[in-house]
Amino acid sequence: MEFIGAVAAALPLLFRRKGLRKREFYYYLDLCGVQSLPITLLISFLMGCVLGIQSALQLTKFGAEIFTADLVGFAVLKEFGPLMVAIILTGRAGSAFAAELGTMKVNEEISALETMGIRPVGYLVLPKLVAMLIAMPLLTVFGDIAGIFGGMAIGVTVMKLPVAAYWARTISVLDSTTMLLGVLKGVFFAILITVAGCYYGFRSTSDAQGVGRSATQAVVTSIFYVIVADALLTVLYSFIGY
Amino acid sequence: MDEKKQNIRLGIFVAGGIILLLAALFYLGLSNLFVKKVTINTAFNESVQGLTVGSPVKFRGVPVGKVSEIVIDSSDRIIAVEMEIEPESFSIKGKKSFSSNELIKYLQGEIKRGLRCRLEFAGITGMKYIDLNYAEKEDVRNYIQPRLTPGSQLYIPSRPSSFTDLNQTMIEALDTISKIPFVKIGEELQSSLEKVVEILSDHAIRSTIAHINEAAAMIESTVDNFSRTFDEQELQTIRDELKTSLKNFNALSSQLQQQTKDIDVAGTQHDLQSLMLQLKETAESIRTLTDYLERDPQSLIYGKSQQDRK
Repeated sequence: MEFIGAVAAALPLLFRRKGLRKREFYYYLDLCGVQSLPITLLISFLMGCVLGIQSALQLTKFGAEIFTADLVGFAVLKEFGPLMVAIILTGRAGSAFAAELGTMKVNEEISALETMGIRPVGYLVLPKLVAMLIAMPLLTVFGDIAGIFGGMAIGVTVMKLPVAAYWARTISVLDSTTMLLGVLKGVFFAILITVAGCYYGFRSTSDAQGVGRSATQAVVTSIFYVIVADALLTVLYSFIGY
Repeated sequence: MDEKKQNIRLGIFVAGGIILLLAALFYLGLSNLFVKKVTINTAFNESVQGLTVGSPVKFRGVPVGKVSEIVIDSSDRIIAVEMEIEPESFSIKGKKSFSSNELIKYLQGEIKRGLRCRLEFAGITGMKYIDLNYAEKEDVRNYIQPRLTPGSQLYIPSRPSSFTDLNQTMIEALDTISKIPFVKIGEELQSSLEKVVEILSDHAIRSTIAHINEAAAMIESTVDNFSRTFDEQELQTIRDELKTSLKNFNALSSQLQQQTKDIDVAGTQHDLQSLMLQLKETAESIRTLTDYLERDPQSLIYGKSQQDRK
């Protein structure tokens, strides 16, 4: 809680000139976004395939194969897109943040920052947070589309549905609000992952084992909170009808 | 790592992501925000089970819009359904698409021609859509008091869906069938059959049937004989003879009539009467004579006595 407050207190820095360290920001954006893109695309595509196969197995019983498009589309846009990206980024970024800050703590770099009168939270966390806030929704978009194509690949190859029919069905049942809400989930997950990763990084004990432990804890806690938040958001969305 | 290269990669990633997001949103219906829409509404006096916000609205099978709101009117439990229709789905002779006002005017005209909303099944899953189609002439009447929802520009009347009719008919039919006392009928039939069996097994009936059989046989043989005796030919001759006899008889009777007329019945009678009178007088004279002879038989020889002469 205290940490969250500190991060929030550092937020006004963003609006100050040179409040955000550009080089660091670009680095983290590259780390979380660009370098996570291939794995995100691959995993989302496979997730779409798996969903497609499972729904195909069930729906062919009713002769309702075309509804695979609905199922895969909604599942990917509402749940699996944001969730898969969040889990990938937890593994890639959350653990990296914790390890990085933990190492800095071991090297007493954080203490040095404090000594120099720089608030470490603003200095170290904000670039990561902003980078994640940008990378995560964008990766979610890529993941969503890869997932839908994964479902489509199954629909077209396994169920022999025409590409155009599957595509038309997907377009007609999905709407922009669903997708936006899914992407919005990514924003929440980005905050959770960054905050958890940095929090455990700062809390790391000043030895090599402590860094490892804090990285593990960061990942475990992130995934836990991501899933809890996903459930809460899903319930929340259901109240507004999505 | 080269900073420039990194920046290009980042630029591609961010720009690509944003473009993809916008493209996807646009493709998935954000474009609808820029499409002109006409809000119309209808009302159903039946369950709209399977109809949801977003269900398609079709004009003779062509998707023209979506259901935008479903509200229950608490006062009379009628379900008002609001729909958004795209004027661009309609065109004038395939050249130009309608404007919103043109569409409303067009639909108003079509309502007079029998355009009605109806719930239809969209498949086997129970999902429904609203079909705008033309009702038969006799089906054009308004089932529900027309009502315009606040956001709507036009009210299109509805007509009951075919499955509601079907359901109603089924329910009525089943109701009627369930009222037939099958058990009672079965019991009565059974007891009647038992009685019939009882009666048939009675000795008297058996002998009666046997007699009837005999009688039938006899009748048959009689008819046989009869037909053998009088075949067609004979009957013909008998009839002919009867005819001639009748004719003869007729002639005879008319002759008789003639003859009886010819006889002078009246004259003969008068003669007979006087004859009878004379005969009577004669008889009286004879009696007087016999009386006198009885008293005085000698007079036959001596003639009348002196005394008598006096």
